[in-house]
Amino acid sequence: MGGCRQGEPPRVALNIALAVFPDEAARYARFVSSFEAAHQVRVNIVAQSYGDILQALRVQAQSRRGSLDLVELDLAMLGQARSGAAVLDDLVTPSAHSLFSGPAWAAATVKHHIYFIPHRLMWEAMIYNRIEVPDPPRTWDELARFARAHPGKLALKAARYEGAVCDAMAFVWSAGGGYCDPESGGSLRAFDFLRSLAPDLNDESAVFREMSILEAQARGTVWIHFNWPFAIGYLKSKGLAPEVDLSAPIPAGPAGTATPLGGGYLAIPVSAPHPELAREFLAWLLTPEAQARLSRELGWYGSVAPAPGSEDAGLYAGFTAMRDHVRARPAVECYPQLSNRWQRAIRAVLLRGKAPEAVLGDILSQNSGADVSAADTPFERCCAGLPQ
Amino acid sequence: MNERSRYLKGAFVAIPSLFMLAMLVVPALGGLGASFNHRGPSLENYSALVHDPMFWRAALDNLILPIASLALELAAGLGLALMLTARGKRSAVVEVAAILPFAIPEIVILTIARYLLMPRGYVNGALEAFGMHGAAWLSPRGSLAMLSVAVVDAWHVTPIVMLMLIAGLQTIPQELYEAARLDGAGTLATFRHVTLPMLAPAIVGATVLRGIDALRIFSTVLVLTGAEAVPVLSTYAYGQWTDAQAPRVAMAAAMVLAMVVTIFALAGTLAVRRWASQPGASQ
Amino acid sequence: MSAPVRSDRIERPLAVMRIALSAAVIAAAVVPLYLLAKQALTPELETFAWPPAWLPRDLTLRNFAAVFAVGELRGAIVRSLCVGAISAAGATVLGAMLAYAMARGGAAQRVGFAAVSGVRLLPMIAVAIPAGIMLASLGLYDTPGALGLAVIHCAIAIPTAALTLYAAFAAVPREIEEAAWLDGASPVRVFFAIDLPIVRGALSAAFVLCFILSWDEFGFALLLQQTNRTLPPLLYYYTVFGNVGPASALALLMMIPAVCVVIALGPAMRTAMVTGSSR
Repeated sequence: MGGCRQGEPPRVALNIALAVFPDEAARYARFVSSFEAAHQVRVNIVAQSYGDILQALRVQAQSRRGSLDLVELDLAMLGQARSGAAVLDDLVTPSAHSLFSGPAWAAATVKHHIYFIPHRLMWEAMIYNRIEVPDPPRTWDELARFARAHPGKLALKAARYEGAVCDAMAFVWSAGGGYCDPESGGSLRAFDFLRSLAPDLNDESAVFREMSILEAQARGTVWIHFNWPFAIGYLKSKGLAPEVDLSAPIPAGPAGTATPLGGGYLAIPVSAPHPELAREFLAWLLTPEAQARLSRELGWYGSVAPAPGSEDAGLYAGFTAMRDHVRARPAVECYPQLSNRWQRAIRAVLLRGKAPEAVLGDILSQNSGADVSAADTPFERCCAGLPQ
Repeated sequence: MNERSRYLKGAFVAIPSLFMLAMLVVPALGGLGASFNHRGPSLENYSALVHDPMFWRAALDNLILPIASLALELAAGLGLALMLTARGKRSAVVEVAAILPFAIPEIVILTIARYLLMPRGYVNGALEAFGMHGAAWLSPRGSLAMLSVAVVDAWHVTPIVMLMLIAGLQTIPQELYEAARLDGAGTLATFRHVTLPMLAPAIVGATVLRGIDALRIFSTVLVLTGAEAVPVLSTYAYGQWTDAQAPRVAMAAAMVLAMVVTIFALAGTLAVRRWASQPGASQ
Repeated sequence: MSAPVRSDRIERPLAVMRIALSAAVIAAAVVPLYLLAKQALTPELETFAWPPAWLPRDLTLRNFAAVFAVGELRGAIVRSLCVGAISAAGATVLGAMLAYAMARGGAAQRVGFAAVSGVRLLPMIAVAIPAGIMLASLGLYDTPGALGLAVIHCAIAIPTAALTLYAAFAAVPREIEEAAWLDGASPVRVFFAIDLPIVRGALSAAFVLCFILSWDEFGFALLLQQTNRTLPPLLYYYTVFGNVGPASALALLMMIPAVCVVIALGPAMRTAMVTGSSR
């Protein structure tokens, strides 16, 4: 047993769980080497999906023991994760505050306390194959025409998880609907449009998640899909961007265009082994120099836009264009219930051809049998952030 | 002396059993309790299952898939077993090749299978090279995905069935074959009247053992198709645990699976006992 | 008395079928492994090309470098080795105890078989989720040393070890034991000094089998070690995150122990696999 422990380094180690690709993890390790040298510590990076990181955080919080000092969480999970995260008010100095926009900090604030530090802010754009689609669709009509002309080449992330809600919300908001307003005219119009697209979508949409849809794009099975900026990073690392794939704005609907705000926020778990060291790391991160380096070295498009005219500016053009159309999802503790209902509705329309009106009505109805019991919070109550 | 050895026997049975009990059975019982808990004792979690169409799909697939997989395993395992025990030289190369799918870690087999079967994978690449159209082996639409999963699952496990049947074949006394030959029976007739009946207990045993494992299929489906294309009870429970953040519903689904496995195992044990008690079966 | 003509007509097609089947079996083993190796040793751009290239155009070790560049890999390898060794050792010891008692017959045999069979019935998902909660309260969930996982692996490997050792213990002649008893040795001494040395071979077979079981195990590892992972969940993460090259390289590395074992050890090992395998 002693032999099994010999592999661990003698210095104090800071354990960070990030939702990064393996090669991103390697680049992040190089990025933090200056922090390691300055503080004489080792930074261990663990690459996992957001869902698994949230799971680890919850278990750590419940058992009051754990090995993680910092975790990166998706925006949609902040409501659920708050109870396991430490308060970080003292870290957010005015200069730190200026690094990110108001909405970004708003999502991190619960009851006037800040629990999360924006790590990389992301929103979705359209990723398209410039060779097969030299003229990417700019409106819903053009998108529908593309789908009909090339069945199976447009794909959506419609697996039974949060990503489906992200894709669909872009359409809902683009039609004037709202997350907490499933029965509005805009939501109905968006779902009607989704139903019209359904027959021509790639079959694997039913199981696609960010990574699998991205791999399909890389292999040419899919020519258009919607994804976050790391998609460009991934395609670039495979030599496919800008040679084959580029980004473009999400096609505009009747009420313009919109994209969901997402992204990683860092939190210090309440049971972190080295909370002081974790705070020092966050303080180190919350400087303009570190943010600029982060954006440059990891190619993370978010807080700092790439210089105009640079290669990155071309690659991320779609994302830059969407910057002013970012909308946030509710950051409430009962969020999973809301999301589950939307997921059901989206999949019913896309995969089983159900009528949008009925399906949207089900989201609000308590007795729809949509996997929630009578004892769960009513949709509107939860969405408004009222106590359950 | 007898008493002390009896104490030893008792301890030697108790310690490992209690360890397994504490580590495995106790949590499972805890899960059973949790599945009946929703802010107090209730059937809410099971009701949530009943109202979820995906759960019913998972339950159905969890019955069809093991049957398909078992059929393939038994056919392939029997074929391989007969071939490897036939008269003539035994090739170590073929033996090793036959065992290899089992020696390789399951996740590696699944990784390989994924790259073989994806829409622009090697199988479709080969088909198109021969001028044929590729097929959507893992597509959520249509039932081809279930067949693909069954084939990959069977591929991984066939070596075990083969070994079980080889062991069974080796218990068949040579005299029976001699008698059949003297009676003028051809190869096919020998197979039908000598080999198959004598092998029946081994086949039944293999069916029960591998059937129990086939019902619990998890990683094959998760890696190959994702949880939504060919839902089975274990991936459904996993999805409730990770994506839906509904741990108690996950436990309820897991308990349903445990019940299915238990019923099958009991039925299987009865079947094995019935077969084993047939005359001439255990020579 | 000549052989019937009918069987002659079957024999030749059967022989042809046999050769075809052998070729298919060898191809089914070799071709996928070749493709995996090709994916590991060629740049990813080549792997993503369509139609697929059947012969490698560009050999590179970049994928292996990428796999090793990730700090997690070293930890994952050590963890897999440790979890395998600890769980196999524990399972062999406990399995030997159980098998010895079962081989002596009587109530012990019935209870032992019931315990072994009952445990094999439990689906992973039904145990892993509550076991994770249980381990969390003990401080053993998702730890760097993966002790919690090792303990669970030990528990699920005991049936394998017990069934492998059962036949060996049953084959130990009673006379030797009884002779030792008559000489005044205690039952414990008899077990350690007489029986264990005789079943040495089966003990190593059981240890190796349990090690492979732990090395390959995916379900519990996925659920109980989220951030301090062993190799199978790490490979799953690579595959699902679209990193074909590093995933293939990692898959090749993971195959090494099991394949070596199967090829090096003879038919006896392969037969032992029959009794002990389970999902």
